Amino acid sequence: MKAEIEITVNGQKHTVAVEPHWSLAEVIRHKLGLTGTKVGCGEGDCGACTVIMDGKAVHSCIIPAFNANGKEIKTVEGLADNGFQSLQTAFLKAGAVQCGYCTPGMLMAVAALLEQNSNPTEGEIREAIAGNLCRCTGYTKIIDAVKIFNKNPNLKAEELHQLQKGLQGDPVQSCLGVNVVRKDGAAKVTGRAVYAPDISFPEMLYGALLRSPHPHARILKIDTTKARSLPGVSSVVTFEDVPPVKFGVMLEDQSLFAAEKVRYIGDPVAAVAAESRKTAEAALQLIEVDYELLEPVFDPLLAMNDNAPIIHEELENYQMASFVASWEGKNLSGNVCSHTKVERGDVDAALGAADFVFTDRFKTPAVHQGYLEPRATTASVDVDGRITIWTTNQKPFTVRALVAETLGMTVNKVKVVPTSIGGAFGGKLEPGLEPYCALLAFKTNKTVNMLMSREEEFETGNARHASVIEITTGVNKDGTITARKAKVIFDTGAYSGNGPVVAGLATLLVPGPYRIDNLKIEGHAVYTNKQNFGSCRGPALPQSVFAVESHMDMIAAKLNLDPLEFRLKNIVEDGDISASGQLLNNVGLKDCLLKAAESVDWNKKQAGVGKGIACFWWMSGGWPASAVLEINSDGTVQLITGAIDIGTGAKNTSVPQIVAEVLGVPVEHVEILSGDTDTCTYDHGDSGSRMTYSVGTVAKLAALDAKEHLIKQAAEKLGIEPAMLVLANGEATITGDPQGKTFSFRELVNIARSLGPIVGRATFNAPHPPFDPATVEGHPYPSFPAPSFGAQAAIVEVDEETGLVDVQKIAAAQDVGRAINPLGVEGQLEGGMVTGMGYALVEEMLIKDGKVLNPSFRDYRMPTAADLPELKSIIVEYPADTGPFGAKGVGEPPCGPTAAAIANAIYDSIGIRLQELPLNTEKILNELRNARK
Amino acid sequence: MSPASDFRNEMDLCHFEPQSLEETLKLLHDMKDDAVLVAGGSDLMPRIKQGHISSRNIIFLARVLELQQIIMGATGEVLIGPMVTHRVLEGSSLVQEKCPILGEAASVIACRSIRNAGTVGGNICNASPAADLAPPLMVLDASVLISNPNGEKTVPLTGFFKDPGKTVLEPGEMVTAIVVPPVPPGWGDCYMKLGKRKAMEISIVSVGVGLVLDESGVCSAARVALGAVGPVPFRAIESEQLLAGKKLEAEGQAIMDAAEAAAEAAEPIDDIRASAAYRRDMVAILTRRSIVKAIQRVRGRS
Ligand SMILES: Cc1cc2nc3c(=O)[nH]c(=O)nc-3n(C[C@H](O)[C@H](O)[C@H](O)COP(=O)(O)OP(=O)(O)OC[C@H]3O[C@@H](n4cnc5c(N)ncnc54)[C@H](O)[C@@H]3O)c2cc1C
Ligand code: FES
Ligand code: FES
Repeated sequence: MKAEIEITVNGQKHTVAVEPHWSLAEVIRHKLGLTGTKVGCGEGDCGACTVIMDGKAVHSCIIPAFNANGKEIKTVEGLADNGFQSLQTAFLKAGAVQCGYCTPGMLMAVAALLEQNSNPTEGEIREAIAGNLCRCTGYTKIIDAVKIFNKNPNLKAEELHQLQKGLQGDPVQSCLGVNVVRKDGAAKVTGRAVYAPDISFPEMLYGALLRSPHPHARILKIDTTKARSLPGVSSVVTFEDVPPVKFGVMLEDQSLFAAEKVRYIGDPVAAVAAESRKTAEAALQLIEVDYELLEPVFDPLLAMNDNAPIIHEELENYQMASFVASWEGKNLSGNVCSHTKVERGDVDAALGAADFVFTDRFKTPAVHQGYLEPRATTASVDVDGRITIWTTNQKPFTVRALVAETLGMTVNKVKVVPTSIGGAFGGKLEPGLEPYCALLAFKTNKTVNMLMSREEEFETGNARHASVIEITTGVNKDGTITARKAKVIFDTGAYSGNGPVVAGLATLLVPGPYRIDNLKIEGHAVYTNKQNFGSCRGPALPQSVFAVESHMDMIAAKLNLDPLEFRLKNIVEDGDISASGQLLNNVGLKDCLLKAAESVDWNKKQAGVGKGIACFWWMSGGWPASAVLEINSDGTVQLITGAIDIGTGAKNTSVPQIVAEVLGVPVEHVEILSGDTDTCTYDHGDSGSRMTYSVGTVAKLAALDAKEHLIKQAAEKLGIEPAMLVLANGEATITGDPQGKTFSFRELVNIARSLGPIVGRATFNAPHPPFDPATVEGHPYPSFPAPSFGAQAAIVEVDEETGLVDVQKIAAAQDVGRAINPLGVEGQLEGGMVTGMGYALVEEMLIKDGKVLNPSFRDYRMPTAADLPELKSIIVEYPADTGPFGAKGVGEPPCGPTAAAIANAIYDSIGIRLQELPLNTEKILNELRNARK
Repeated sequence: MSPASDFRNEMDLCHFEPQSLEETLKLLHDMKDDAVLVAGGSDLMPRIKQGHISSRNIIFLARVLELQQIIMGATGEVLIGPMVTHRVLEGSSLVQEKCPILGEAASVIACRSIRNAGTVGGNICNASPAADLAPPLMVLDASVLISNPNGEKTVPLTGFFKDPGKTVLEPGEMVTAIVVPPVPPGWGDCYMKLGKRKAMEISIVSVGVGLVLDESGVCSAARVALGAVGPVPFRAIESEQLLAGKKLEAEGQAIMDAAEAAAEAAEPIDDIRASAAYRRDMVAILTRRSIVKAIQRVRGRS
């Protein structure tokens, strides 16, 4: 029964009728429409919903609405009026905002602290935000923001304008290498950025999915009669309502609804649209499905056995996705859905000849991307049969294509509107709710909204693959590596998804960034009855690096070599080739290793303290990009691209900086259209560290194209040769003109525009660098565009009684080619290190009999601000030949080497070598005990 | 694009917002004991949402100011209202002076924002084996004042918990105060919890220790209470007995024996947070460390 409560929100009194089970967060978001307050879990575990109630920060999702009766509430929307505008500005200035989903809650937690304590210590700041998870920033810049605010509490919003030109505030000579405030920043710190769970329409319906309760079963019968007749239910759909289309990233083995078989706990069987979420969920209970249980298989090694239950009987008949050209998908049988091989030299002979041969085996668990914004989608059908889909997905154009394909429509009838994305890290690469939501919208002719719970996110997402990696390495007495053989197995779950790509990538990563002449590396993606694992920040990277770099230290220990020296002896340098024969240049690896080592005082031994180091190589992501760019009459610039920004800020900082640099205009004169798939041209999506590299390149090309038109048209109008017009530093001069005539950029634009608009366009699809085809077999990704390199070092102390590892410091040195926006690069490094630390020590999806046992942020522990070690980011720049102004990809690899660096530091500290992640307390104690025996 | 709501679903719950304890007790009486009490809601909210509650009548205690106080009783005891939040407990000067171990324990619960909502009463009535306030309250020999529409009674905290999620509270009964008697002279105590993160952690193991030392360092009385290693938090009596009458030194046998006895007394289970074996081992470690710290505190104070 409803009753009224009275609350004052941001100074305004509201009387709201509420139900006893409503939370304050729901009242604020749904009743008052203040969607600046976010919900990431609804269970008190993440802090995204933090508001201030009577002067105290609270997690509003667990505050009963009635407990707020008569209270005074402050939300992010009222922050500026409460004198905290400068705090918001400080967040932007410090680079404390990435995806922005944690930002409103973070700001409120900090504001509550500052109201009571105007000059908090770092410890007090950490304590105040310890309940606010942030997966993007690694907390450091948030703490910096509070310090900036403390030094200058009068940082006014007007300064934002100044900040947008470049944080140094000096007259900007170049737009590159300058810290620019992100273009979507103001919306994110004020709560105005609209994320997918914030979208809603009057009278919309709510969709829900019926998911399989069994890991492996045959469907005998589905009866939806009872569900359909439940009052309030508008539609119930199953496989019978969609064309029998199969789809998949590489291998088309997936369909929208299970028809004959379910393959994991969570496999979609039916969908319902109803007038409330509760009714939709009630309807799910009424759908009767008869299952015949089949023997499941959960362990990828067992799944590879000949007598293992087969998860996809049709494997050999599956088609390759149409765009897959380079992957032959060889040797597929049983449950092995990809087999990739990289082979060069004569590995067996070389191992036979080596002075020493070492074999080690490593295991890594499934871990979740941990984005705070749950997946949500809203779909609406127009009168003319077109559909509009608002969603939080890294690849809007893939969503468009998949919805069209699975629902039997043409692509141009589907419009996908990307919302602000509250973190993704690869987890929102695969289409999720979109086709279901679209289907229900068609069936009901109404707007339909779907939202995943945090539990569903953990149970049915696309978490990082678990792996088993066995490496054998041959080494000579002097520490030269002569051969390496490895077998990599990725548990890809019920569907192949990105597994074949990930297993393929591993075959290039397991050789490491080392010069090894004799190699044989095999990668497999294997089906099991679990959720479809997928991409996660640097897919295959942390798994491979943990194995390789632990193995390297194990060898160094046996040969009595210093781990740093051993690496330096074997790392690739300019002119060396990769495992697949790609010629490497602009290799900044040695610098990275030395700088990372230096920042932990590598050569200084301290009792009880352990130091470890690890290094890697990775790609700058290619894939197709396009852009259109118009120069307006006043000289300002509009860039239109289908590229989106999942939080890194590349699109909102580096890309406009690149455009500004090409045209010689200030960055604040460049606007980027954040559009939908109707208004923008194709982009592959925000993935694979490709934003600055590929989208930056296409933006640069579009700007160059526009510049060419500008000069051509202006020259024509002026009656001179285009070559005579020189545009530099925002000014045009006519060379050879005796009067030395100059025009401002704006004047030049006006002259040129008198002949027509100035529009540039470009497409770009980074070519794969040449490789040696004879070395690879079944490889989906045989060479890395503009490879990046890096190293991390860690300092740890281990409590030998409890097994707790105290990480005191992590230093990351990464060769980013050229740091277009250094603050943004640091943000990526810091966030990556903290995520990597979670991977190292605590994060693990516990899956038993196909069921996730810890599907919440309470039991799936991501590091909090209280766990934060000292972080050091070191930017190393060896410009790439191909990237825009030398830039390489940045975003993914920072979480790659952390676990290995920490594992190596633990060994250095207590002599315990763990070969299975996470390096948790119990494993450490068990090993200590074994060692003492 | 105005955010509509998803609240066309009704759960048929009735709410009550009593303004006083008297009114609350009367409501309990009128409802014939069929009601759920909501304090801060941090444990209850998710359960209410999922419909996991025993009654349709929801009584919100937020407005009952009498339950939010911390006061000195007539005989030197501290009376803590069940609606006192963890954050208030942490900051209370009376608590700091009389029973600082409670502040110490409150300060390691979840995070500040949860501590602004969660209450002492909710923490113990929720009867989680891992409730962080239970071991320190046991160390202080606290008891619980229970009222029902017909009267009130006092139950020692050691007799309050029955099972995970279950207390001795009968339908219609509620906790109206937590009574913390004064500690004897020469007292020192300590609370330690073990978790994998430094915040937002439900204890894997928690240990509270309180002891009395005389001038010569001999322990005249000790209390050791354990959390998260049994169906309910409990006192490890054997461990206490091994301390009493002994001269305590940091690496001494008495402390080791007491720590081992505490581990013996533990009845941990394997769950997703830790294995039983690890928990048992950690009881010994934390008990030893807590004893050492408590001794330091006695010395620090005198
Ligand atoms: C994210 C998160 C982290 C947490 N971390 C911790 C932690 O680190 N340590 C820890 O100990 N706990 C933790 N908790 C649990 C919880 O916050 C605490 O137990 C808190 O003290 C509960 O208090 P509450 O007022 O919110 O209780 P409520 O949820 O309101 O109530 C809990 C139970 O107590 C009953 N109850 C409340 N008051 C009375 C009364 N006066 N008489 C009779 N029954 C009553 C209610 O009916 C209900 O059954 C955490 C919870 C969350 C959501
Ligand atoms: S949404 Fe409230 S804590 Fe996560
Ligand atoms: S910026 Fe904090 S979660 Fe993304």
